[in-house]
Amino acid sequence: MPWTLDKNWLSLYTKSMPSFKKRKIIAGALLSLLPCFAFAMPDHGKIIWKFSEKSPCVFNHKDGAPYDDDILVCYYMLANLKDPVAQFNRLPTEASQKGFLRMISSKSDPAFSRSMKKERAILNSNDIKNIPKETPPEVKLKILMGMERQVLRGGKAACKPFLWPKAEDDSYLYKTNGEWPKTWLPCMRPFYARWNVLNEKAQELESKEVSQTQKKVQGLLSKIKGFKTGKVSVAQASVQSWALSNQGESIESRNGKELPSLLRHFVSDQKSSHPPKPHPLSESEYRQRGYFNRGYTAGMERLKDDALLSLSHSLGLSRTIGNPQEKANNIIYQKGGTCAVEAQYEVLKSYGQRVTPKGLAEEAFRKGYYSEAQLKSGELIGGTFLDNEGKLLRDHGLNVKVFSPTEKPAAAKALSAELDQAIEKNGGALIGVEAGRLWNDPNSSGGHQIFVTGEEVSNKNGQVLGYYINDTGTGEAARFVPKKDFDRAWRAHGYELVVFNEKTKK
Amino acid sequence: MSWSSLMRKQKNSRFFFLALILSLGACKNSGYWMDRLDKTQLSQAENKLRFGSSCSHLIPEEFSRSVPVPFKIKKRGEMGFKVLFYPVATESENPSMASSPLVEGIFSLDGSVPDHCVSMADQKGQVLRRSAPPRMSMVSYYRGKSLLYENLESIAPLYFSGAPLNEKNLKDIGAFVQEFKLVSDPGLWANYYHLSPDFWNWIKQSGQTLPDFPPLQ
Repeated sequence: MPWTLDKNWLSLYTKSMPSFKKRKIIAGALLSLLPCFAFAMPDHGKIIWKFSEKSPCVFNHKDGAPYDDDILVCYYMLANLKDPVAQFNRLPTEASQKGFLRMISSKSDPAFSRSMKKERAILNSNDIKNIPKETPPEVKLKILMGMERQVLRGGKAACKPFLWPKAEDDSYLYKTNGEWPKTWLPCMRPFYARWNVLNEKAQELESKEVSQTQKKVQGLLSKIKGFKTGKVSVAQASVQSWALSNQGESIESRNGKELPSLLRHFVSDQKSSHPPKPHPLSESEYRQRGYFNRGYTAGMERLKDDALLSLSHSLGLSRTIGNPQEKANNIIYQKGGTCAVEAQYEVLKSYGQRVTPKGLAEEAFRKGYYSEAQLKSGELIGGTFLDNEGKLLRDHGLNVKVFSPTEKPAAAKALSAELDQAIEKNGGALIGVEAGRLWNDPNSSGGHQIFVTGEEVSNKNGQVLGYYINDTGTGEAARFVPKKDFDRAWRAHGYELVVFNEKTKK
Repeated sequence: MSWSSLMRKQKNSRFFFLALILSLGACKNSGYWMDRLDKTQLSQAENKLRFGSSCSHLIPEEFSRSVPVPFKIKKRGEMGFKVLFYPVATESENPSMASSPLVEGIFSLDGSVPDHCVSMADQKGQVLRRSAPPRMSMVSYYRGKSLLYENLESIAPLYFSGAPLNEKNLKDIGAFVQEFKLVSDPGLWANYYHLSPDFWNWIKQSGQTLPDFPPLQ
């Protein structure tokens, strides 16, 4: 029997037969071919020839025809062989083509079995049912976030032999913008599905965490407001001393240990890690801020920070300069090394300009401000040279002043003052920081540009307690960074500063 | 209470206080080590180089920088440091991946060599695993890095002068190698060796086991 068959051949063969016989034969042939259609498009009209029940390789090929995506589907071959299409097309005969694919299949089948085994293990160990019901919500949330990571990471590793083509580069300059190819779906589908379930549950718990803490702080505030005048001053002094003693203390060192006794009394969740009410008043504001984008611990620290800021505001101890919440509307996740471009995007949006992240990246690339290159290994690298900082803002009609980075402490003080002034007058500025220090992650290195959208200032002595930032690298908006942490990240990048304002209309 | 139990108690309390003092010492947060690192002359000189007019047009904002390595050219009387600048492609599943360095910077602490940078664009192509040690905490990373820079500041003059080494010097060199293995980017080790083979040979002659430098491809 020929190993390829098409409609024409079948009709020629059956032309001379009586019609009832024809129908019988055709029906019989179709019935016998039914299992083969399980892996192919039914209207293709060609016999599918597969080498194994388990194998994801589907073969539907005509003798001697060159390789065609429609008739030969074997991601294993494409993902693991060097130039497999050329290799296949060079084969002179049907037998050699068959032999070639048999060889592929003999490797693909065991790989497929291993992949299935890994899939089962990953899905079993990252099942929501594994979390005991009595687990406290904050612990559950932490476990869920870990599971989400493991499912995607493990899924990609398990499917690796079958993932073809390579994922698109995470770039604004390419068409698909870093999306994963649809051809990954057959293998990755179970992992996507599990991730969706985990993510939905995690989001639900995140919302609960926030609303619970909102209630707690509301209660705390009403208690403080209910105090007699003398006691209020005690509370104020208590929070004030905390705010002053902690201005700039490292977030990770704090963990609520230095909270004044009065606050600790009410904010008992400092130990049970239920954070108090943060600033955002609505679900959308909370989502926009991306509290948990850097993981569970960082998210909880941010919630605590915002809760303390809420208290500090309520007691009249400090005030925010600038409008970080309004500017949080413009937060995006950058692609590739476009931090400097996308920070400028946020600035232009805050001035009401009609720009898009992709459009601006393309403009920066075209003008030579932003460079992007693909390495031989396929990795994409990109960046903005220091002497091109702020140029997009200038091109879009803003007055721009770029302060050259410096390592001199005296100049640093002056630059700090410039930044404070820029926030007060223009609502923000762009600065360069060392990413690892800002993200509390030693695995991240290199420079990074962020949009400073506001600052928190003590009402008592005007001292800056910290800054609010939008960070396109993590997708976090209105993140409060204590002054000392902020300064350390900024100092490591030479106090790079770009200030801007709108040109005055004549 | 018997004499021995009293002694034991006293001994325990001594241990307790010793442990307390040691743990208090270890409690320094990452900020403390960052401050200490930033105060080193080497770190400040690196920043000056990176953001100075001779290099800023060659180094994009997002590039990372390596640990500086001392070099000397006796004939020209040049003694200074070489540092590499390289792009990092961060993948969500993996620790950062570093590309081959694209810029080599040269600076000195005593002004014997003017600050300058050289583009190494022709080396572009290879991606190396960086893995600034994965799972390392911020405190241990910055502690390691600040000690590495401090040690380097004390051993570099010994290398430059070629003076005989005493016990303390050998100890400092040992500490430098240990911290180097801990916090430098293994993906760049071949480049580190290539920057100043003479320096690493000097380290080797002092009796230290060098990191396993792969050949530069």
